[in-house]
Amino acid sequence: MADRHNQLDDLERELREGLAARPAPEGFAERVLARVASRKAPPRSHPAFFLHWRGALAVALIAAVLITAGLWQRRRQQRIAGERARAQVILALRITNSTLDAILQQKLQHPTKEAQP
Amino acid sequence: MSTPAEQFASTLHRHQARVYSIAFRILGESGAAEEVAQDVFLELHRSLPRLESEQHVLAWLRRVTCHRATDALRRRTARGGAIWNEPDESALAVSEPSAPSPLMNRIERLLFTLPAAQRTVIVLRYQEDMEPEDIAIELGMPLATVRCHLQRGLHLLRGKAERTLKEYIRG
Repeated sequence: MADRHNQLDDLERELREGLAARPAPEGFAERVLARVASRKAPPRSHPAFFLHWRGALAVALIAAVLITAGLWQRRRQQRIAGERARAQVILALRITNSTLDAILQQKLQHPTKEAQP
Repeated sequence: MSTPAEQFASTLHRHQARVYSIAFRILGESGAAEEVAQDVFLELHRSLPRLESEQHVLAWLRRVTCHRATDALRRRTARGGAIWNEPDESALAVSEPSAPSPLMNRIERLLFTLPAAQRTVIVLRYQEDMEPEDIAIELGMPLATVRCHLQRGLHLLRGKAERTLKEYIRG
């Protein structure tokens, strides 16, 4: 039993000694740092990408505002023109009405003139 | 006060041998081990700001290295690659860089003949000097499984070591 324990202890001691850390391959750290640096480079394209999309978004927003303002202005002008036309029609009707009134009054005051042959 | 880049470089230099050794002893191949170790450090570079202490960094490195190396081993097996449980020791001796000491060379050769799970647990126990409870936490394994892998691994290693010694004496 004691012999088996000693064997195990020997094996465990050998494992502890034999499994000390191996040195990493030559230039390992430099290769990792180079990969880190090369991975850092692509994010430079990210701001350009975002700037591109932000620019496009800004242009789209400005275009939307301009189109909305244009449409609103056009509808306003159409409404004003419509109101003017309506006022002119009402004025014309009033003039016609007053003219007809005047003719009717004239006829009522001098009914015989037209009745005579 | 060091910059994040200096902090990362310092962590890399301090732990490169540890991470590479864990990967190498799980995978049994220096090229694949370097690939895994590099990936682990690249991942560390992203995660370093979130890791609060040196112990946290160490635990993170051990856990991620074991998982990445085991994943790489699984992928290799799935692709129909070599079964690393019983590698050809002579081929290993030719293709792999020699160990810094004859004892390390002998122990690694014996280790490479073990199943991957036993190998991983033995590496963490004897290279990293971790307790079975800590190994269970790091690998997300039940403690009983860790103890079982350790016992079986040691039993297999002892048998193989005795056979190797007898062959050496006979030869």
